Amino acid sequence: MTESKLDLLQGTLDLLVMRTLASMGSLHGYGIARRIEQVSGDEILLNQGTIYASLVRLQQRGWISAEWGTSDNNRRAKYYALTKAGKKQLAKETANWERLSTVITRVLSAQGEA
Amino acid sequence: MTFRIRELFGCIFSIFRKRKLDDDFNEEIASHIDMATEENIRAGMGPQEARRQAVIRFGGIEAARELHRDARGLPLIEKIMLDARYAFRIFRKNPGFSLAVVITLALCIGANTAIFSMLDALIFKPLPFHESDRIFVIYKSFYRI
Repeated sequence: MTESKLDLLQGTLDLLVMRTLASMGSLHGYGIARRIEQVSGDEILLNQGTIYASLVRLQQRGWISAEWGTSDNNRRAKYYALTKAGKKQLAKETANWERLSTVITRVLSAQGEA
Repeated sequence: MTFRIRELFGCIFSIFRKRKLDDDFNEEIASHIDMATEENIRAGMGPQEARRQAVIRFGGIEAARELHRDARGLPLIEKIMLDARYAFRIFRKNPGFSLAVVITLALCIGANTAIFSMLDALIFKPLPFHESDRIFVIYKSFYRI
């Protein structure tokens, strides 16, 4: 079961985190990890702890902001949200990713025709 | 590109706030594991198993700490600083050994420098005359017949 899960490519976790924050608004690390797992249909092998390296990196680049807050059941948690610069970056990286994956798909599927 | 500069400043800044950032992250991990445990309990696990599963899903806690530290700081410079501090401690612990090392190095470097300076002056540098390559030494030699 675990072996069939996908390993994330270097750098793609940042993109997934930003995308998640864009659609969910403000969210804590655990929420982001769970959301990525659920949306991916549990196909992505994610050590939830690795998400925090991504979060601190994005924060230092000014793409997300962080703030301690209280969750629904009164638990203290650090909440992250996408900044304006982060929204712009997300659009840019999404376009980049789509371009890259299209090209790779094209090259891979061209094999048979040659 | 501005984000790179921002990031660099963030990394430098975070080296000096290590204690606070570590505490902050520890609290964040605790809160993460608590939330995961709660969700597992709601899903019907016993409290102990719920916590165990939460920790497993988190992956290595120490590994996450290291990743976090590397991402927020300048791992190379921090490692060099750690090594330097370690070296300094060892030197202070073994003054006799340190002295021997320092004297050995000093003598070797000194001897090398002295020999090289001499060779440099005698052989490598051109003679201090105009068109020094046209200076010849003339001498007579006798061959046995």
